[in-house]
Amino acid sequence: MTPGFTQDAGRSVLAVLPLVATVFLALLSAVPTHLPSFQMVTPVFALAAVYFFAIYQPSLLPPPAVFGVGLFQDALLGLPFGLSALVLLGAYGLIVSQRNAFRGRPFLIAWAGFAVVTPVTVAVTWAIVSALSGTVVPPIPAAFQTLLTIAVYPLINVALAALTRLLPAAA
Amino acid sequence: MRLQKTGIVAILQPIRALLGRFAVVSLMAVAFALMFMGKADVVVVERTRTAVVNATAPLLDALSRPIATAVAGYHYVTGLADAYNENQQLKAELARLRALEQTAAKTAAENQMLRELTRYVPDGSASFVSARVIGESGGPFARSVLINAGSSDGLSRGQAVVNGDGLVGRLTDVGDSAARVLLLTDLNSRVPVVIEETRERAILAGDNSDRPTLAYLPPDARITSGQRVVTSGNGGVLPPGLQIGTVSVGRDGVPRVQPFVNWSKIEFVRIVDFGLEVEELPPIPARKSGKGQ
Repeated sequence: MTPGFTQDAGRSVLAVLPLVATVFLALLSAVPTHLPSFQMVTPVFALAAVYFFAIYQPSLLPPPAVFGVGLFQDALLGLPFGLSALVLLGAYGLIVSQRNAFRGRPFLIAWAGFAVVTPVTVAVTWAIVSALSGTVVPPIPAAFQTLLTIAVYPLINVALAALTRLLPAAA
Repeated sequence: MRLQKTGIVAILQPIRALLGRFAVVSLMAVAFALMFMGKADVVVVERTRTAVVNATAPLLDALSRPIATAVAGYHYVTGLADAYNENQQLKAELARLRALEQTAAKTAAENQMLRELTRYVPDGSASFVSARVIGESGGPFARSVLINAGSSDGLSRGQAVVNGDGLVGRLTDVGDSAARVLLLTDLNSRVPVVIEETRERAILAGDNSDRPTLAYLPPDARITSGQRVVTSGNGGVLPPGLQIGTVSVGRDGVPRVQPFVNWSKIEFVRIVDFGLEVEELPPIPARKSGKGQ
């Protein structure tokens, strides 16, 4: 009995690890680097995590978790509250519906998919922020943010793949 | 047995998928609604934001320290290499400033004399709180930083935030031990300013670029690059005379301000309390009774 119970407890602790990792990645976007102009183009680390889980194991990061991560990111970065939640969920829903195209394929295919999803996500964010504020937000930093986000994806992919190997395969 | 199981799974699978998709769509609707609630400055949204800032502050503080140390180390090493040139520059600047000091002393004395002559009411004395920048809004869609001081240090919403170079921004979300500074460059930032030379008033409006624009300038304003821009004190939120930057008119003809603050190098800031909270007006009956006597 006892081993079974500890195993269950261990499992439920492990089950929140993907959410914790995604929140941590969102937090990384807010760490000051003091690099010139880097603040403007900091990658959307959380999007990379959402993409990863949406393709490989959506059950590890269900929609409410994506919603929570989005709200957390909005509050942390001072974005319009609900914006990241909306955009991340949109990306998540889109990827989950297309995940069969990426599963079991080489990593480059997944990366290419991310290179398509990221510009769309950033462009939608750009359009919403511009519309809400009635100002045209400078598009060039947004373009650089897109490129940087695509560039860091392999690192996040490796880290999260290592993390999911820790989890029970049952999910 | 095996067949039965796959049969149930085959029925449940699409239902689960449908529920999953429904969850995404309904949560997206909630997020959309929240966005408009936030736009309307709903208290709950503001409290949630402040609570998140408060809760993550210790973690951000810890994460930002190693980077700050590395940056300090880098500056130390590069500073050593550049010490000779910097020394020469500083000597030249010192010579220039010595001359300015004479002028400043003379002006201060003259100012004091004129103030006495006109019975000038001095601005209230200001108090300062210093804080470290522990977080910044990464990405092109918001320009704000988080600091490790909050209402327990006497901070409150709307106070001016400066560093050695000039005005940095204003406090927005203030938690117990952490607060958000909305930078001058954020697209929600509006600061009443005055062109120092011509005394023409304008609103400094951020647009998320490094150089905020000058809005609501009078049509006949004489704007040239290089003019100094300071706060005007209009609206009573910020004190007058805080230095901001210099006018720079771009090729597109839009008047912008190049702030003195170097946005990538804000490590410490000072929050200034000028005691500018709007006080209640003195009761009117007192005057009436005075009249009756």
